[in-house]
Amino acid sequence: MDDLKMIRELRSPAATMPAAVEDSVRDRLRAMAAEPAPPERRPAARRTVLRVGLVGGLAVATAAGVTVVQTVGGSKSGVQLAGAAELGDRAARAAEAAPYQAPGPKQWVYSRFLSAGGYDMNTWWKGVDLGKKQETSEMWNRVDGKSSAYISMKGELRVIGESGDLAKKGSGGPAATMVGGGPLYNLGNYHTLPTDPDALLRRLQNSRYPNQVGETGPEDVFEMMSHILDDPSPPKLRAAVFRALPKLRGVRLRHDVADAAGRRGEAFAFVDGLGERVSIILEPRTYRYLGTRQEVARPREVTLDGGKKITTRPGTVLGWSARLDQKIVDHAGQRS
Amino acid sequence: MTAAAIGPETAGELDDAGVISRSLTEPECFSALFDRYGRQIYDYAARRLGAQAAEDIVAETFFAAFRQRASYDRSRSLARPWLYGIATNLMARHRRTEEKYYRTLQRTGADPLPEPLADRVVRRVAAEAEERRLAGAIARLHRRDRDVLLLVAWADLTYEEVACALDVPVGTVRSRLNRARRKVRAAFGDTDPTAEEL
Repeated sequence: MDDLKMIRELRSPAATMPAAVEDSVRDRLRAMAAEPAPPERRPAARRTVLRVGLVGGLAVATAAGVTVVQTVGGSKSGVQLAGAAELGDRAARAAEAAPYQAPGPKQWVYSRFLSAGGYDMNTWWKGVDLGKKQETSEMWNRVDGKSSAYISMKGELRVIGESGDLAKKGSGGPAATMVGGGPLYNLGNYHTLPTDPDALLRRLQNSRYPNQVGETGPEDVFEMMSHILDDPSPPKLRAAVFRALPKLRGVRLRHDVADAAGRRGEAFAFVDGLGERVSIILEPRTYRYLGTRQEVARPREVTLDGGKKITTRPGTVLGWSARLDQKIVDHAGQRS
Repeated sequence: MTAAAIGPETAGELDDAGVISRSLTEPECFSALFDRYGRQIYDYAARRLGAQAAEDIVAETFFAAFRQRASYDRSRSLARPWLYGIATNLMARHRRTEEKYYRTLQRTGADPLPEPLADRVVRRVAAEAEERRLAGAIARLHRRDRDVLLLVAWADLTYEEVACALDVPVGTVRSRLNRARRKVRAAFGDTDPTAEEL
């Protein structure tokens, strides 16, 4: 569908600036220009907002604290699993047996991940670059969800805090505040979720964002579960997610799926309404979260801007990531 | 600061970086940037938040830009992404209002953007079903994703310009845009309202 064209047409044409507004801005700029003060080099007095560079929705993932609790023989990916339910059960047991120390609310989750580059909006159906064009990103999320940090394009640490918390200094960039809602459930409120798999599934299926339009579908539940696995979430909740995933309509086991770093694992895969398959890839022995992969599962004819029709090709990889590191640290910017 | 020998008129011959550079010693030159981009920024803000809020956004954007001009990266000849970045950040404070407007449009078919232009009122009242659905999908996007989507669709920025505006890597822009577009497409249940798919 021609989504961009539709968006371009929404609220078009826009209002034009009244002449009186133009004049008043010009007058004020002139007045500011006449003031003797030198231009500011520190952050602007008025706070502005920056956003965190998160990789695609499912990209940030891991199971910090999960250690090897069982070694199983079998195929190169560890064991030949019969289905998603078995993967879920094994991963759940691994999660339950793993040592876990709940991070403090003021601690940070440091994540480093790799993602495939080469995505081009105009030719999105051609997929991402599977070769060397990969991008590494790092980010820090405070456990209470109220602050995050990332490395800017200039290589500087940028901390985004709630209003009142202060952000990075030094580059002359604006101070930053955290805005916007993140996932409905996060490390700050995971304790409110049931740890029985069926109850968890019901809760997630019935959960709604305050501004949600439409029903919560299985792809939304899959994404929420993926987020929980992204985080260093409590073992009982992880176990419940692992056991609930196979119960979600459409979730299948996929063997030997590689993440963006080339590590192969077992995956929970889900094909969404667009015929695109998302895989959550787990390390085949420890069931640690490795990364995600999105690809075309079913061909689909799409009409582009300008009326040209293309058909997506099964197997085309649309998104690919790998979690390289995740740690609990005391400060943003800290890596170990 | 004394009156400059070279005023805004002469600044017209400089590129944006040149204007900013000159404005460090001749601050009145800075208004040349407003002449170049003021309307565009207003346009963008008005589409997201309505005319009234857009007045404040456009004014604050240029005042903030003026104050921060010394830190502008003058290797970037075009200041447009920088200005859109400032405007986008300022608009973040109005996120809830913005989302409420989309939701109202979705629910009622009437766009509640304050102070609509007279010739648009009729169209707004009669918003098509797909426009309503689209508004709902936009309301539901994560703000980070919506910023990228609307900077591309409404402000016509390239990925590199969006990356520069939001100070994130280009790859992040791509992934956010990708996700936003998928969500919009998904809201239409994978059917194209303008051209039926098989």
